[in-house]
Amino acid sequence: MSRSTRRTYILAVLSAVLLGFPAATLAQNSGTDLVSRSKDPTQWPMAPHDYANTRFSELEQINTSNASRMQLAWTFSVGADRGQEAAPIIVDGMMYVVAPYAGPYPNRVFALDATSGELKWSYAPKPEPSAAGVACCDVVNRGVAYDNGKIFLNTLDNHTVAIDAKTGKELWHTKLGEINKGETITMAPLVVKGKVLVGNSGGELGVRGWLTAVDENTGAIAWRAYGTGPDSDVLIGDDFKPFYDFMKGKDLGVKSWPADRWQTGGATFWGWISYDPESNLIYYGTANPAPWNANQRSGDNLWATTIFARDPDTGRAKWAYQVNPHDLFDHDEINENVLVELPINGQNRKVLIHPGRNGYMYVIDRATGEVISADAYDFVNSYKGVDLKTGRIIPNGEKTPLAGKTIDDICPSAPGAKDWQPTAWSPRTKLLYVPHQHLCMSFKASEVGYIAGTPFVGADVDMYAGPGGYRGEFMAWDPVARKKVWEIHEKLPVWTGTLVTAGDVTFYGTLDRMFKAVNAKTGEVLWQFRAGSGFIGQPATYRGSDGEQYVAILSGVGGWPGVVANAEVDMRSATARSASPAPRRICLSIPPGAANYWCSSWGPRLPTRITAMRRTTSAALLIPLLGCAAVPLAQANEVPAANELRICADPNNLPFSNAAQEGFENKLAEMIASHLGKTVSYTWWAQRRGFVRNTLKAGKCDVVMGVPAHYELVETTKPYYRSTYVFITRQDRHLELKSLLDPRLRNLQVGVHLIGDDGNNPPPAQALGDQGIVDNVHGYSIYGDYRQPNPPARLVEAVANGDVDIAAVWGPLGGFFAQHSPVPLALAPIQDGERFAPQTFQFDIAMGVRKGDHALLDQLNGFITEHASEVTDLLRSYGVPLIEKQKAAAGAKDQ
Amino acid sequence: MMIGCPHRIAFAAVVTWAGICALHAQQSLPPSQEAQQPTVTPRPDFGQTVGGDRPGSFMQVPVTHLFPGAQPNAPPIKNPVQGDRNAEQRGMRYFINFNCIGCHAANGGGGMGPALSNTTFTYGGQPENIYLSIYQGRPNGMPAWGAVLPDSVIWDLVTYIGKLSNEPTPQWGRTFSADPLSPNVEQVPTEQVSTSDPWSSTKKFSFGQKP
Repeated sequence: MSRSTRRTYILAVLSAVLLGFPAATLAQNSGTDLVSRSKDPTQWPMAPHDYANTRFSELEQINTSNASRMQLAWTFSVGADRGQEAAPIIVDGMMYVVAPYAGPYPNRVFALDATSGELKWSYAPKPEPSAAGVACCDVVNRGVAYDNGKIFLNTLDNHTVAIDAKTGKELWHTKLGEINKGETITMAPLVVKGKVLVGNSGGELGVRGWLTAVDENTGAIAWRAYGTGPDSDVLIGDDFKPFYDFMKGKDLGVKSWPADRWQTGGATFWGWISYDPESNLIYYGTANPAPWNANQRSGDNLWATTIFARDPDTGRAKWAYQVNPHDLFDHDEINENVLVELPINGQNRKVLIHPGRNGYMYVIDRATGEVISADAYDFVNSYKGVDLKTGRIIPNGEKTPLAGKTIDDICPSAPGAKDWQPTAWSPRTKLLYVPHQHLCMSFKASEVGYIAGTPFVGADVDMYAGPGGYRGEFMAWDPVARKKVWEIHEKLPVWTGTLVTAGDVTFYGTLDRMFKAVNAKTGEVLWQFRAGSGFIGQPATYRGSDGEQYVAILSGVGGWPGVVANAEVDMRSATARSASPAPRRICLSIPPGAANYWCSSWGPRLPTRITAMRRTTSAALLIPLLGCAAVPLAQANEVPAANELRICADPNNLPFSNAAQEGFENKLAEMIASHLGKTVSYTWWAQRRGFVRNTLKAGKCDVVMGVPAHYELVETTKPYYRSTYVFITRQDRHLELKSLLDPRLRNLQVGVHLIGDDGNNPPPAQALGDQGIVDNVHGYSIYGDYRQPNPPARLVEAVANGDVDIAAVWGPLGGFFAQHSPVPLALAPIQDGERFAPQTFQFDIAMGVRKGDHALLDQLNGFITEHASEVTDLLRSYGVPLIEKQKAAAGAKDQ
Repeated sequence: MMIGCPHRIAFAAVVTWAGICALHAQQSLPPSQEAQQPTVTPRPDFGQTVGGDRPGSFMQVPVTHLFPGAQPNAPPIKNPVQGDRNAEQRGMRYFINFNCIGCHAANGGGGMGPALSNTTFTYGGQPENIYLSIYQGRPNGMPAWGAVLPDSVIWDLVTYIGKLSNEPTPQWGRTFSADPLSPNVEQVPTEQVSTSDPWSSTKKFSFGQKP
């Protein structure tokens, strides 16, 4: 949103408040359906963010100039020590996340307040523990889904469950598969038009794959489309129109297999679904054919590794494209299909971008299934390219696995150039952000017999780094130019999903515990954080109820590459886990498990539009919020001693307070304490976002000495003083400048304090901006370098030493630092502030207690009434400019 | 004193929730949509020849090392083919044919199931413990094979697993480190050497680089 629109928006809200109207809904779009929620930056309503699977957020609060200052906001432990692949979803201020199938409560769902991290409820399904015995690739779960007040969960043991999103109460559950057939479910469901779409896993156990639609209200099965078998099971009818000839014919899901092999043919579905409401089509791709040993299943093996376009109401297929006929290498094609519009050869075409497991980046016309382009995005030698005329991929005969013979250097390896970990698309940069691996393999095929509920693979596989010796990469791909734009190499496969924002920041995590923010345009790493365990999850971003942008991701290594770190797997054995893609090395560098869930918030603010004179170095005050290993449902309040007056204060905030208790709020606290017969004690906390929550609300202390009257987070006393913003100049300049409307303000160098982005800047900054006075205005971060004493003083010092000609400062700050300035300074209360209503330049200041603490409130009010003159004397001694309250009538002035 | 702009903007989205009744719907598919698969019937003598001549002795096999009061004698069960090279070879074939290799990997490295290539056994490492684990299955994913595998097959597997787990262990516990390198050996990959005694051929740990 542009600055001016935002400002207008804020002004509208403020005036509503002042006139006593109820607060307006501030979400950009107040619709309740998933499409509108995807456009609301306070929400991330589904794992892929939106039906087009762009994983793009409009938020720009975190951007390339300030991402380096991101700070940890809170963490939450899901308590299950296996791979954490789930995307968090954020709906109506609540975050929903699901844990893997481990621990005492497998696949537990947690509902948290998305801003504070407070746990609201959790739901644990009823597990069948032996399901873990048929899960090929760690007991992961890729996330829950939401629609119409319900959360939808898939469990490893094949249940889909509906839970009330507000209360966690179970609504219905349906068993969709059977572990004794080797079936499990790991994918995040997707809800389209009231149907929960769920697919199964088990291509390594000879399962027959399917995609099932379940009614979101009743749990009844609406339709099921199998991945193999006769057309009636695959839901192929007369309206099926594949683009290429090799997919035209009847019952190809039977005929392209020997005898009955389609019954154990795989073609499961456990990846991503996209949906185009305009054409009413869902898009998804099926997994590998079973077994891996292709010699046991001659034929094209339809409909494995096939991208389908289906009608979500009936499940009927509209078109299909088989990416890897007669797949040789376990190259599932369940990867996401990102729906975009691209200019191709002078025409705007509605396409899907499909990063193939086989190493090719496909751009496919999503109306017809025509392959427009297919280009290798990583090193590929197992294929020679895609014939765009026939639509068929051309395998490299030299790499064809023969029974009993080891073929070396097959690239990409079985997990492909990219596995399920999803990409993100930025409509701003027009680039696709691709987290992926860079591995080759040796493959020895062997005969395998089918025994239901046991692995049906028939291959010995050993994986190792691809050319160049690195095993992972995060890169940006231009689908129109059909090439990589920038790339970052990693030692280990990059197994997380990614997202990208309008602030041009993209994120990814590594298996060796780093979570990184990257400049989406250039690929420069802006920030990184080392967490407790490696990352294989999916990030989400949203704006919290406090107006801050948050980024959230699960950490917890595992998944196919990481199971060697969290299971009892012997890394001295080359074929452990049919060759883990990130082999034995992991054990040496990653602690297992430690499933943690945490958010990073964009921390100390920097000026955005207004030119900063000095970019102060961030005091990375990492407020420690760790330590919740268990799942506490409430904070325990500390019990105060009866004779203590416990103050919440900032240890470095003169003239108000500091650790040496030299501020006037410290003195005032002492006055009150002695009046009440108590002793003063302090809980120190830097006074910025999170201050009240972490001190007063946490029960650590009972009074905040200075808050604006009627401050909504606390209950306020009557005000004990009123002050105003002031202009400060050097006395020897004789500027005599009092009014915000003074034309000289356009030409002087003006200094202001800045707190954060446009919406939260102090009134003088806003008022100058309103008049278009910007280029000569210099912002000084009010938090500044917290390691130095009195950061806000930098602005006043700037007037004294001539860096600026005039500064607009909040009265008590201005008065105190001017008092202490070696160079004589002049103060003038700012006038004509009412021209910039609803911005106000004068404020009543009161004390704040916890809501409901009326006993203390009454005591403080009593003090303020009885000792008003002593309070005034104290404030005057600190140079605080005091003014009388103006009469309420609009336009009337007292002075 | 709270710094700066006293006006904090609260984002409030008002959502109404409809009341929802709890439903427990167990749904199943019409039979015609299920694939027809041949079923495996239990072996005719299932339950009769456990443990050779003395099935009752298997009841004495402890699954724990905690014994309140008296510590019993070890049960009088022996692997009838212990040390038999042919049994090892047969066991290796069964390990492949019955898809043990799918979960436990070639040479028992582990994956979906735990490693059998070391002396750590979750449910006991004595031959009689391993026999029972295969026969009865185990809670976290080991299937119960007793209904389909004759005793002799299970003992052959036990013999082979005994060979697989014969790891070189200079230490009582396990150290993982890059410098000094620990563990410092790895098995030769099965695509190069296929043997029923994998610990007989080892080489220096290679950090997952191409062999």
